Amino acid sequence: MKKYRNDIILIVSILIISLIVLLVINLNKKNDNLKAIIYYKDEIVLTIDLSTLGENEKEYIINGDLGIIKLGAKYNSIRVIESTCLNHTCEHQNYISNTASVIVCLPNLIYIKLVSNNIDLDVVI
Amino acid sequence: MSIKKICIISSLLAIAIVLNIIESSIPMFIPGVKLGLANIVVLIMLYEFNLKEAFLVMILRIILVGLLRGNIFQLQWFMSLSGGILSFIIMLLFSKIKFFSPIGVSILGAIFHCIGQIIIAIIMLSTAVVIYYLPFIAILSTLTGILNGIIVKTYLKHSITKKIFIK
Repeated sequence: MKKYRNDIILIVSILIISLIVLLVINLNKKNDNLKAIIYYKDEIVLTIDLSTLGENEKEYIINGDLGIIKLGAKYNSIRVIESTCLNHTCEHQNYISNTASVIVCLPNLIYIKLVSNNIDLDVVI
Repeated sequence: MSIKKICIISSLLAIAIVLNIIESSIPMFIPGVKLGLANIVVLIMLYEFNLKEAFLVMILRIILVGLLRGNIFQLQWFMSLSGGILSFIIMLLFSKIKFFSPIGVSILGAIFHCIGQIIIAIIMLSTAVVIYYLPFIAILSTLTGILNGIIVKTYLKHSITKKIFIK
């Protein structure tokens, strides 16, 4: 076991650091009053106010680098229904419904970010 | 380079290419996650061969897999290239200083392979939003790195290269 001491220290430190980062991300996430912002590279192509939608999924179509991407949005959640990329990783990610999650479709250079419409009360004006 | 050595290196390169291709058909239950089995060959090369030969196998593997998959010079290929080179540099460094066993070196290689890919993604998207994936990637890379590291360690312990190729 002594032979692997450094390896064990490495594994434990990676796991601890990753879990702390995940915890911090999850503590700061917001689940309500969400707005989805869809970017192509760094420009906004579409903004959807998810808090005004109902439980029935509404479809949106945007253009990426490889072709069209079909998005499905409902109350406070959004997903990629269909994409023209090779791996379809973005489709498998399914719905995201908090500000700590993003959907990235890299071959199409498209990413979806959720932001909360809630105004922080501790802001000094 | 002797003919015998060229044959050994070519065989290892062929193994790396086959591992790279078959790993995409292994179901991983998490989208986008791969075992990184081709890394096993690069790591073995770093321990048993010289820097030039190991680098040759790493770079030829990426180019040939790109040609076989038909995605050479596309975004995915550049990500693979960037990840491959970054993980090679890190594994080279740590395999020489002998601070970690092949298991630790394999974990660092797996993590830095993903960091190399993330760097390309950040450049392409002009945003750092993909960094969000890093903690998940670090945990998963640690697991796949341990698996590959154990395989490399067992391979080196039994001197398989010598037994098979240099008999």
